[in-house]
Amino acid sequence: MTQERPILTLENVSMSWPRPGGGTVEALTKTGLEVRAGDCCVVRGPSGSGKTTLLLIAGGLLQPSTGSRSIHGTVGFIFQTLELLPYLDIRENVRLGLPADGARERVEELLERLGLADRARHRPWQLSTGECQRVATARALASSPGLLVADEPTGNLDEENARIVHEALAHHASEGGAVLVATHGSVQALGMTRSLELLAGALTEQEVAT
Amino acid sequence: MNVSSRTIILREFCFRWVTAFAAASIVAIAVTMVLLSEQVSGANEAATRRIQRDIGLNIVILPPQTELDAWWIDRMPRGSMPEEWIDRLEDQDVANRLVPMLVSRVRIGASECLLTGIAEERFKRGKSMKPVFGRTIEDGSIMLGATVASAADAREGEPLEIRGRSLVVSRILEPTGSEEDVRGWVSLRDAQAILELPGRLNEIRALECHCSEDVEDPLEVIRAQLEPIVPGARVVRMNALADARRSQRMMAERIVSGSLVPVLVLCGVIVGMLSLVNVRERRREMGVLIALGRRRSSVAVIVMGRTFLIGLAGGAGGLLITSLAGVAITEGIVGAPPPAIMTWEVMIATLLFPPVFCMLASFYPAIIAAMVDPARLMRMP
Repeated sequence: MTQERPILTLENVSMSWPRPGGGTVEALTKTGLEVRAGDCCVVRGPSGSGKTTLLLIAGGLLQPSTGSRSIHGTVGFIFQTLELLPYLDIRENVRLGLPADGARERVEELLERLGLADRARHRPWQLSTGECQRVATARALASSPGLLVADEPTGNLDEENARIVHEALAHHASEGGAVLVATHGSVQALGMTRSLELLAGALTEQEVAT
Repeated sequence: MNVSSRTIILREFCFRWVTAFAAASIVAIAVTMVLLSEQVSGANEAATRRIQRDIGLNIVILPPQTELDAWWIDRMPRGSMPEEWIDRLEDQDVANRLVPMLVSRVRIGASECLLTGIAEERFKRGKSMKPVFGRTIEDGSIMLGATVASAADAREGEPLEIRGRSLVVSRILEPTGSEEDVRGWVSLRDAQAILELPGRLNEIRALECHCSEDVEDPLEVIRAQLEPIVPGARVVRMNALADARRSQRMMAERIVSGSLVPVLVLCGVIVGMLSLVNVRERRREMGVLIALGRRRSSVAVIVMGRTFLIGLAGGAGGLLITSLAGVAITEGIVGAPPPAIMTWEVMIATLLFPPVFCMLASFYPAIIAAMVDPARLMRMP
C-alpha cells in the first residue's frame, strides 16, 4: 500500500432503501473506506449484505443517503452481466471504454494482454463467456481508470479465464490504479492485497494472509 | 479514439434491421400517401375543372338595356353592346374565359330557331389556355340543333335560307334534350349581318375563376370588377352552377387534406412507439454507455439518430414507390393522369421532412434513454 493521496475516500457513508410495505432497509451504515493507488481490495459478504451498493457508491453511480465520497481520477466498471454491445465487434466494444481522445494503441495492448487479439473482429455472441468477461475487463481498463470497480468478475469463469482476468486487475494496480472487487472467491486466489468484510451494512477490514 | 455515435447508430440499425425496416415501412407508407394525395389532388382538380368546365359558363354579361326579370323569363337579351367590350374584358380578374355572342329568335321555314352568332373564345389577359367553349363556325355556314334541323327538313351540305341570306348546313347535331336542340350556330359576322347589327353583341358568356369562390357574395365582387370596364352592363351569375363548382372543389380538397392529418399523426405515434420499444430493449446498453462516461445527450442523439435514419429510409422508400407506381395508382383512383409533382424541391423536402418528423416523434423515447440509471444495471442482473 502506498502513502499517496487516496484514490477513493468514503466517509460515514450510509445508504437506506425504502422497504415495500413501509420502513427502510439499511444497506450501509456509517461506512468509511480509503482506497489508494496500488490497492487491490476485495469486498466479501453474503448475498444482500450491501456489496453491490458499496460498489455503486464507490463508482459514483449511486448517491449515498448520508456521508460523502471523493474520487481522484476516473472510474472503470466491470458489470456482473458484462453488457457488451452485440452489434459492435470486440475491438469496438473495448474502444467504447476509451475517452474521446484515447489512443487506439491502448486498445491493441489490452486485446493482446487479455488474449483477445485474434478475436478482435468477432462479435460478442461468437465468443465464450470467459472471453466475453475478458472483453468487459479490457473495456473497463481502456481508459486507465484510477479506480476499477468489478462486481463478481470471475464468478462464472474457468480457472484459465479467471487467471487472465486476475492478472489484468493486478497489472492495473501495479501501474498505479486501484481495484475494488466484490466476490465470493478467496482473497489469495484473486491475488488481492486488502480484504473487506461486509456484514449487515457494516464494513470491516481483515488481515490478508500472505 | 472512442466509438462514434454515428458508428453505434449505423451498426445498431443494421443489427436490428427487422424493427428498423418495419418502422421505415410505416414512414414510407405515410410519405407515399402524402405524395399520392398531392398527385390525386392535382389530378382530381384537373378532372374536376374539366367536368365543371363542361357543365358550362356560369357568368352572363348582358347589354345595359336588358331587364333582368324579363331575361330570367325568356333568357333573351334586350338591346346590344359594342363588340369591342370583349377586348376590354380581357383586363379583369373574375373570369378566365369569355365567349362573345349575338343571340336572337329567327324563323326558319315554319319553325323558330335560336340563331346564335359566336366567335372564338377569349381569355383573361396573360392567360394561355386551350379554347373549349367558343365554336369556330365558318362564314356562310350554319350548324343546326337536332329539333330545328328536323323542323326545317335540313340536310348536311344543303343550303338553308335565313332572312334572305343563304347558308350551307355544315353539321346537324345529335339531340341533347336541351335548348341546344333549337339553336342554329353561325359565325358572329353572319349573325351580325342577318340581324343587321354590325359590330354589336348582346351576350357575353364567361367562366368565373376561383378567385371569387371564397368570398361571401361573389356576384357583388364580380359586378364591382366589371362595372368600370363595361359600364351599365347587366351581370348574371348562375348561382347554382357556381356554388356547385365551389362545393365540389372544396369537398375534394377537404377530403384530401383531412385524410392526411390522421395518417401523419398515426405515423408519428407508431414511429414513437417503435422507438420506445427499441429504447426499452436497449436500456442496459444505454446504461453501460452512460457508466462508461458517454454524455446523456449523446445517448439521446443515438436514439434520435436511429429514427433519423428510419425517416430517411422511409422518405426514400416513399419517393421510390410514388415514382414507380404513383401514376398508375392515381389513374386508378381518379381516372386521369396526375400532374408532374416530382420537382427537385419536392424530392428534397421528401428526404428532409420525414427524418425531422421521426426525430421529433422519438423525442420522448430519447429522453427516456438519456434518463436511464446505470446503477440499476449492477443491481439487477
